[in-house]
Amino acid sequence: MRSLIERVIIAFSWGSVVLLLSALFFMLGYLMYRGAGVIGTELLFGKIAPIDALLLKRQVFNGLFPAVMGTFALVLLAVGFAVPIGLAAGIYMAEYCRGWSRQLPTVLFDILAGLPSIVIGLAGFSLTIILHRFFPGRLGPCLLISALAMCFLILPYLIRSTQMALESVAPSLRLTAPALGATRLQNIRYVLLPARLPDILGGVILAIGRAAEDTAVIMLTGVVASAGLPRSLFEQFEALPFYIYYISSQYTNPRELQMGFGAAILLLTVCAVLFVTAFFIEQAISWQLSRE
Amino acid sequence: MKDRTKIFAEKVCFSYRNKAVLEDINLALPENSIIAVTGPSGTGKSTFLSIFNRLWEENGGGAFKGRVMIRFSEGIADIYSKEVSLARLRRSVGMVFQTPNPLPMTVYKNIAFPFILQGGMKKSEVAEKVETMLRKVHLFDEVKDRMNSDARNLSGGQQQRLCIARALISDPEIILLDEPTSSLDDKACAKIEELLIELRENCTLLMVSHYQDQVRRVADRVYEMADRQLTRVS
Amino acid sequence: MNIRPGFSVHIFRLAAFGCAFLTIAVFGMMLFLGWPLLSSGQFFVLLTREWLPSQEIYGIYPMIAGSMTIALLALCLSLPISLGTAFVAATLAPRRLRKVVLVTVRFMAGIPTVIYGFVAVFLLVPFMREQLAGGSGLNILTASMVLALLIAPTMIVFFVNGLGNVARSYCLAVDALGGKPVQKLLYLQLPQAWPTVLAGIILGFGRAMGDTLISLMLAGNSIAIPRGVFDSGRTLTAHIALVLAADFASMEFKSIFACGLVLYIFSVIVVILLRYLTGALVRPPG
Repeated sequence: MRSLIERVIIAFSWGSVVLLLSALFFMLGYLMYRGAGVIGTELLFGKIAPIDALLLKRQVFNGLFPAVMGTFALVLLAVGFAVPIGLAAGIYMAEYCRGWSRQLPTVLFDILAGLPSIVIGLAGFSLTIILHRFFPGRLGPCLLISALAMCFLILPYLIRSTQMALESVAPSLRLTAPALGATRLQNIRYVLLPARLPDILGGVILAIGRAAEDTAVIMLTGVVASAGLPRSLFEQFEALPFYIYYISSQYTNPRELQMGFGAAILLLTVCAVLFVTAFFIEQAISWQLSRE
Repeated sequence: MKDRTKIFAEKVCFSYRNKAVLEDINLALPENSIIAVTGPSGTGKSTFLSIFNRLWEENGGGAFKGRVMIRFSEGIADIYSKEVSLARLRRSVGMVFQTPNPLPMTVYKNIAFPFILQGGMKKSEVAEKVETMLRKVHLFDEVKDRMNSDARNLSGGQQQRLCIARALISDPEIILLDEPTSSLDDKACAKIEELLIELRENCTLLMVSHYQDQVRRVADRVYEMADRQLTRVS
Repeated sequence: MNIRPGFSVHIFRLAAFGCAFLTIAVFGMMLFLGWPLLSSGQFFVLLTREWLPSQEIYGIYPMIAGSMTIALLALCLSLPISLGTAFVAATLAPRRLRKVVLVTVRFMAGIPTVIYGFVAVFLLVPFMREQLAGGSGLNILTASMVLALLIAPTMIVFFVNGLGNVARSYCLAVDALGGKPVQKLLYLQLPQAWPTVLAGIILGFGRAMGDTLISLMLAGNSIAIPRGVFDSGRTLTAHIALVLAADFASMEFKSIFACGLVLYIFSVIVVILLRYLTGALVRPPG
């Protein structure tokens, strides 16, 4: 009887793996099958010469270039805001915060990490309403608000990866610099951060992936289906994931649908590249740790 | 000159997380000598050492009571008084750990590290000093072609001598050694012991070790630690 | 470094407590903006009423029901597959294959949500429409199936960590007694790791409740209380995204803040449960 249960479990487990992986490959295969045809410069730039579009000489109407640039600007801003704050907060949690006062921020960061992205988006949106109430003007949802909300979304990842990276420094290495007369800040600056830079970089890459991928946050804070290239922080913008979402329900002709598949492949490629980079960094870390 | 007191400890008590580790220790240690502390592991010998450079303060949970005076060249100081700068104290009281702990940087930078921390020194001066220190620990010939490679690629014995050179570069008057040879093979161990005897010319060495024969070979004075107390053996 | 050390500590502390404060501020902001609705209708009444804007009743019960149904169904579909895959990735497969499975699963976790939704719109929805459910093909089951795929990687990674953390010496003991991998798994690892497994389930459920795009794209978004898996439904998250287009001053618009508050409270409960299960809450500060 027992051996029968064991055999059923084994068969079931392998069955699950096959099911899961076939779902994955079926999905990816279908995406490639439908979208491979449009991959090319025309997908990005439409009928306009790429060089003209890149030099901003002519506007692109029929390509993904504005959406790609929108996502790029959004990620750059969000990560640019989040990295210094996340690093500082992570350093504080790992090196300075002691005793019971540690519990509250830790729990709050956990909550922040667990908040649905739409709630973060709603918070960003609320901010625009409140700002509007106090400073009646034309500050509606825009690139800046989106970037701030996105920054808030990725902050817990950065804080946690920095904190864990610093806390994983071996005790002997941690004491080396203080024994030579280093202050705590010098120890962080010269020893702890450089020693765990790959871990922190891994966290940053994860955060980039999250910022490039999330749709719910920007949906509420300023992304639109067509806005052209992002020109200012206070204007609405386009983004790749939102474009994909939009096309899925609003496409009007086969060409647009094709572009949707092309955009999906493009976004998937970006995330895959980030994933592979993070993977290799992680491999390098475990190799380094095995050496210590 | 040799019998002048260098370190003077009075009624020193230390507890970790409310558990007493050391109780009422009184000591007067002479200058330019090697003082060894032996005893079974887990009796707080490493903690004892960390009292003299206040390194225990880096980890939470410790509590210190008592007084420790050190006769530095510029005068006698109570190292736990508020006027003492922690950074200067730790430059004057160097420490070498049980396992060699090179920093994850090049050989050269490792040794020059205390100067990087201090700042305000000319590059040529630093280079000169690094070379002097490497010669002092008899490491220069072995690493002179590898100054810019990662210090963690050196052998264990070389790493430990590098760590000693790094501690020596800020001209300490006291060096604390926490089982400096326990992770090394016999040959590397012998080299370090020779080095320690040479260092006695200018420094006071306070060493923790549980190798009885090593203690007999190098130490001028031996204490044994047991039951939170320190007793002089020879 | 010429900066005074004390100064940089203040910066670090400001960053940490600033983020912590903002997390609370998000709650406060939603409470503030949703207040007109909350104070007139009382929060708990709101949670149990239907959505009847013509009678000025803005209950969010249908959305809560929709979210719960979709998330629970997704969890039921995902849990067996995730457990099975975790068994393979933790113990059953040879070492090298284990790593391959785990890396693939982690890659799955990195695929953008919108891509799962996009492919499903053109692959699963027509299948639903023509073969299974009829209608538009947008229904609770469609959303749950895709959501199941989406939350599987999160749970698998968590399960594998839990199963792998069982003390090595125990595992060696079972190996030395000639136990097969499946026996080690069933009689040692699973009983030892059950709190982690439970934590993984809660985490997966939390993810499913918090997801916006899948339900928005696939569940149909009708505002009636769902009666079956082939019914269309609307989740709390989708409601927020959909109503935002409405007039800012209307009561209808204020209801999204009630949804936001429910989601916020739900995530707090998830975090507390997780911390309790993984022992982080009872661990003394170190």
